[in-house]
Amino acid sequence: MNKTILEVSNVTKNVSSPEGELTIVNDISLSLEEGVFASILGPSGSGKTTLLAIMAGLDLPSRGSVKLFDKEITNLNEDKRAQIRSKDVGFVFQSFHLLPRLSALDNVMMPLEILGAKDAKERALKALDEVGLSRRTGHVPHQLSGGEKQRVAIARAMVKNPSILFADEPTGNLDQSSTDNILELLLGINQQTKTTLVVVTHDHSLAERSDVVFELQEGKLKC
Amino acid sequence: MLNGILFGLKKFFSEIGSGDMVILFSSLILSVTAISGVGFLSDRFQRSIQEQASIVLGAEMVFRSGAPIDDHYIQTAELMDIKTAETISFLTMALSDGGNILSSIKAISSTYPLVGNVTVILEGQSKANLDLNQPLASTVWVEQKILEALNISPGESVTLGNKTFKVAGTLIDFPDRSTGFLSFSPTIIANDYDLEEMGVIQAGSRVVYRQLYSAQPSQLESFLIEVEDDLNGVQVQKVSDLEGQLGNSVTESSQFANLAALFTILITLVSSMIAARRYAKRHLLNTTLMKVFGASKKFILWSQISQLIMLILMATFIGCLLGFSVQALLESILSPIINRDLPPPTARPLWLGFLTACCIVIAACGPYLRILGLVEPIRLLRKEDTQGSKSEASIYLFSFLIFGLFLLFLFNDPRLVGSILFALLGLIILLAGIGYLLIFSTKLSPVFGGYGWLMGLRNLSKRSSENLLQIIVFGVSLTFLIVLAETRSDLVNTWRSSLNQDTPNYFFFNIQDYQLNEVQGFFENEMEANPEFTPLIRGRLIGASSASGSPIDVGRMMQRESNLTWFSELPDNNSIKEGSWWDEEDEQRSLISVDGQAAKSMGLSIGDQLEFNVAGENFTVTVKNFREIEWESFSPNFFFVLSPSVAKELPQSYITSLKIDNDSEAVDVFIERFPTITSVDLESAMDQIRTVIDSASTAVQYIFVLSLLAGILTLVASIFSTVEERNKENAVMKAMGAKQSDILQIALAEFGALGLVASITALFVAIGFSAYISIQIFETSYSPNSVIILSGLLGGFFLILLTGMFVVYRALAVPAVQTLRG
Repeated sequence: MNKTILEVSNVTKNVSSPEGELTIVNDISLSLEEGVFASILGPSGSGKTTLLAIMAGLDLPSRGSVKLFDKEITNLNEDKRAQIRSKDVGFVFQSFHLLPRLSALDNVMMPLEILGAKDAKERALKALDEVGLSRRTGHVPHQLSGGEKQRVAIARAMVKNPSILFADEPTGNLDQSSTDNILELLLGINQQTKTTLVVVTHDHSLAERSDVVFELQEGKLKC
Repeated sequence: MLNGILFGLKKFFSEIGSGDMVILFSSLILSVTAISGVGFLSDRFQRSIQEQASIVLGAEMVFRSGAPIDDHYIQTAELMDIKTAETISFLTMALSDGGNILSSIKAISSTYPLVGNVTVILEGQSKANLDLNQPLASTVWVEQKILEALNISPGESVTLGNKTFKVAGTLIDFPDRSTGFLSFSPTIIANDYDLEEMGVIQAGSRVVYRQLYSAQPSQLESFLIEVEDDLNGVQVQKVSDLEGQLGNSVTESSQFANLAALFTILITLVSSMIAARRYAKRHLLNTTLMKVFGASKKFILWSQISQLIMLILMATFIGCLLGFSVQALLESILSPIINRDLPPPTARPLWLGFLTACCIVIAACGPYLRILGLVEPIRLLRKEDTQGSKSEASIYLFSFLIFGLFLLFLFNDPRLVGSILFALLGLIILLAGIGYLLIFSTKLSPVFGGYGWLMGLRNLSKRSSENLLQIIVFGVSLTFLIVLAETRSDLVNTWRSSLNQDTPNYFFFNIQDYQLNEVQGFFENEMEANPEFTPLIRGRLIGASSASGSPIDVGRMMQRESNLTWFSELPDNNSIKEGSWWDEEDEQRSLISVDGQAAKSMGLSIGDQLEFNVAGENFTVTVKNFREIEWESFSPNFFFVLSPSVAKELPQSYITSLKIDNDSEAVDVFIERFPTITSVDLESAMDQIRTVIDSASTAVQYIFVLSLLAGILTLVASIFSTVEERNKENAVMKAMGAKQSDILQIALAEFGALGLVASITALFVAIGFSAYISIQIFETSYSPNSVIILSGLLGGFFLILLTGMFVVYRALAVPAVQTLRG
């Protein structure tokens, strides 16, 4: 049996709104083992992105606990949580979030530069090569297609060899052909590197190919 | 921390090319250039003026009296290691076989001068000597005008009183030239050893005795404390007393330069804030991503601080280089005023430039750094596009406070800084109020105009906070530019009007009553001139009594003869400061009008009584009013003006002035026909003053260019700050079928309204500011300049409109799909 990499226990997230307090995530518990491909499925507003943020330590729950790599992260301050993310966590976003003034290579180098890695350039070139963009390293984001931008974003997420990769609707802004390519790329990473993959998606076809699916409905985990 | 700094520095050169960094960088360079350029120049001027003041005195401190000054002051000073010298000056006739001329004799001791040089071309030499102290006994140095009048050359003889002297050289220049009665006559410098043999100083002779002192200010202060109790009848003149009187146009152009630098900094602060806002918006994604990828707050903060420090250092370096070049250019323009090499600058302007750049970066970027530090990484997942929770108002308040502290450091005058900030705050509130009214009015349904106009005006309310900010930015920048242009123009006009083409260049003294008609006829027939003749009464103030019992100090005025006059009407270049001019009811009263400043120094009040002696006759007059005199005018001005009833019976001569063409021979004919009337040619002095005014005017215009550049930069920065949002809106409208002309019409309405409101408001506020600055700071009159006002209004309006239209027009060239794809 594989080691548990992420454990979420009774997590609830409340937010204030003009209509009063809203519960976005309601008493959710789940755990993930190392190397699995997990999908979080649900309609818009069901709380799946909030749950992803809490699992990755980007946000804190109102109640409950989250253990990432056996460490309780809900009582760590922002810098301590950032330290965990800097080494072992990768992110891919729906809107890619590439820095517009930086080339593909510079975008991929950024996480390594934050760590102060001396071989940042070599590792970034290798990561771009692995996603099939070795000939586009000098291009800035607006010179790339949507699929290529997401490949750069995946290379940026994987360049530091994280143990877990969180992806928020990674194919949400892409056409079918690009969606298929990105999906293959993510599955390949999961299988070859044994990186745990947590993907938030609307896409049932993507969810079908995952090892485990968590379906959310109005902030609650659907059994 | 180190990782953050290295990361920041690594990214600096890719960052510097971005639009916001270019604007921030340019703003910093402009402000550093302005403050360091003006700083370098003021620094050197200040030191030069101090040196010039010493030269005018011939020392750092002078004791002056109409009677011999006791030697014990000199002995005390020498015991305190203070350098000393003595001069004795008086008027006497210089005689030779070829003629005679009334000359000012200056008998000097061997240590003269203490400051500056006596410039003499010695007999048989062609080059001027600068290192001479005193002519040998029985020899003199003589000015060229005397040589010409006596028809002699160096090496020949001249007689002064009982003694004949050999002319050892031609006197070119010397320090402490007199400005009193001695100054109208050319000078002869003699050895004080020969004074007794000359035998010209008798009891009752008009003589000026001077003791000169030179040492460090602290030594002179100690000396003055030591002797001040027994300085009976001795007038003390110090360098500091003269600094204010020297180079009025230099001082005023320096004041203008400081004002322009201050406004430039203010304007560049605004453009820096706009740039910082854009910088923060652009870095929001950057910073959030860094946080998502594990960067700590410290790492992010230091990476940004390191970039800003690089920016400050580069801007300081380039700005100070440009500042030094600007002051070198100004120095060359002002060289006719300075007329000598300025001392080298100190390092103060460099520090001031650095401090200015730091202050602007802290004021403009500080709040945004904090916002970026506080940004939550989750906003990337939420697809938020806000800058954080900190309100814009608190950001501006912070910038305002930092700027206030900087001004406090700069001026060290809390009251002045308070006034500047209060005026600035008032201007912002006024602009915000008017802007709010405009935006509010666009919410009401307009009754005219097509779709484009309606949409354009609605856009004003749709982006209400952005547009309000733009109205404030446009308004503040335009106000400062118009104020500077107005002040510059007023200053230059005041300087020039004090010396226009019709300003008299000849003065005629000593015209007797019986000659009046004949002289008047000569001027009318030979020169086609009809000048006014002003009565001149020589008298001495001999006493004063106060109506209220408060003490009056007339000691200084009593030491010398005064020139009195009388007028029925108040002269043109005089105005009443206190009291009133005499009217018909005062016809039989003995009244006097006194110069306001002289009255203040004597402690006089209206109703006090002054006693004069004129030609052996004593009389008493009552102070009726105090006048303010335009001393800059080339008309005869008087400290004391008597009422007609008391003056008409006193012995008097007349004085007049008129403009005579340089090539006219009428003056020669006049001198020949009226040999007893003294004529004084002021043409060369006026030429020198004209050059001074032209130079100062040019310098002031160059400084203004810096502010103008800063103002244009701010307006352009402000419009470009909304370019991305406008591009998106235009793309959406194009996608929905709007024609290019519709979009251009919307922009025309929006920017037209913004430009109009900002320009009109700025104009009215600027007129108020300009009047205040002209009257309160430069002490000149103010009249709005219609050319500047119209140019300000149209220039501001069209700059805003055309820049806005350019931004929108450029955006139209980008295919909508490209913008929408992001």
